[in-house]
Amino acid sequence: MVKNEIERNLLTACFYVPKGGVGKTTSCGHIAVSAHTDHDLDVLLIDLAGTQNDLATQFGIANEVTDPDIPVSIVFSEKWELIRDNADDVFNRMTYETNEGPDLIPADPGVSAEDNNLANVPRENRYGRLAAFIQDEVASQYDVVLLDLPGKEDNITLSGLAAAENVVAPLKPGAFELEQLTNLEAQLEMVRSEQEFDADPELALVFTSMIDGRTNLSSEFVEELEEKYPGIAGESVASSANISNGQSTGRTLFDFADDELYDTGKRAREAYRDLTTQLLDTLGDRL
Amino acid sequence: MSEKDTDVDAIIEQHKEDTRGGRQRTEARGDDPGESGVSLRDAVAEAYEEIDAGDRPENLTLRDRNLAALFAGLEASGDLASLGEQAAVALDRDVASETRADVLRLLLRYAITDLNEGVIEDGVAGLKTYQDRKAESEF
Repeated sequence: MVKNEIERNLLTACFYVPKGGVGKTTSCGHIAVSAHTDHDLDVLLIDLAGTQNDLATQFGIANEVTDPDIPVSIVFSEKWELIRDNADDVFNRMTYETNEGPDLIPADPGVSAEDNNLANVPRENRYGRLAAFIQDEVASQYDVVLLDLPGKEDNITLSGLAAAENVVAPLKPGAFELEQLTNLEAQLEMVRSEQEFDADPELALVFTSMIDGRTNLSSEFVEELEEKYPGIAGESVASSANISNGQSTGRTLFDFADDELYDTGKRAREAYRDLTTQLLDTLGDRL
Repeated sequence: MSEKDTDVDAIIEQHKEDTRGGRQRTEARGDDPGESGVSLRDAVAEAYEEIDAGDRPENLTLRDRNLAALFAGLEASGDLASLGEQAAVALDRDVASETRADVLRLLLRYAITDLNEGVIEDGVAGLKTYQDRKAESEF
């Protein structure tokens, strides 16, 4: 259906784990910046992960995006085609520049409402709207599009999985976290097997975030992850106060000078660089 | 501005108005009266006041033979905690489900959230209304 129509040279990935607080949004923002800065790619971020607008906060533009001229939620609505075909400059009215390179389509409160409304749409017509939007409006303008999805399986998430079949899953070390990946794989298998999605999402990159090298739990978790997911397990990202400090001031680690970063911040930044390179290689191989 | 632009902009603004607060306006809202003429939010706030006054119990009870057997089995087999942990993770809550009551709370919240998150939101709004009213009366 729609995924096959997306231009084959557009790299797409979605950040999704059915749980909050694992560093999904942080990772999405940092990998986007590295893709732009270190790989010279035009990157678009689409925030569908709730209404807090965390990606906008990451880049210090939360106050600017509180009332987008055209909210992204309208893409999921029955009004989208009318808007697309009749409004002027639609895409630019949805999109904001960040000061670190990637552009951002922010979340809006309507995403939750449209998630409810999609439940009333026949399944065969329900999940392709985001993919069609990416094909029609994004593919010709960008090299990479990264979706930050909700931390739960709802219609928005399923639309995101159908549109960007490569799934990036950060995890925090913990006793039940690998079970989250097992659950996620089951969800992806469900999407692959059901006709109305016409999509083949699969894990593209898994890694540990907020790692504390001082604890045995962290190192054991990393080993287990690498053992269970060879080929797609990526570099671990150290827990660092620089990350949260950066978020409070609207900066990623890439916006800090070296002498502003603790060792943990430098390690985390390098990890994000490695993860970005690994992800781009994987996405390129899968085109 | 052409008439077409005005119409499209009106549609966009109507969409924003309809979906503000995260729920479609045409769905039942917490501040819209339900079938009984009382909004869910106000009904929840009133229920808190009734609980405080001792006019309404704090516990939920139900009789269900099959669920009773299922939960007895879950406890005996040691699977109850795992079920509670799954619900806690899905709700992004701390995994600390020790008792049957803990697990039942999580499962019930999970089910309601999955079916209609707006109900939980209205419950939270009702709690806030109750707290605000209480604060005003004590001031």
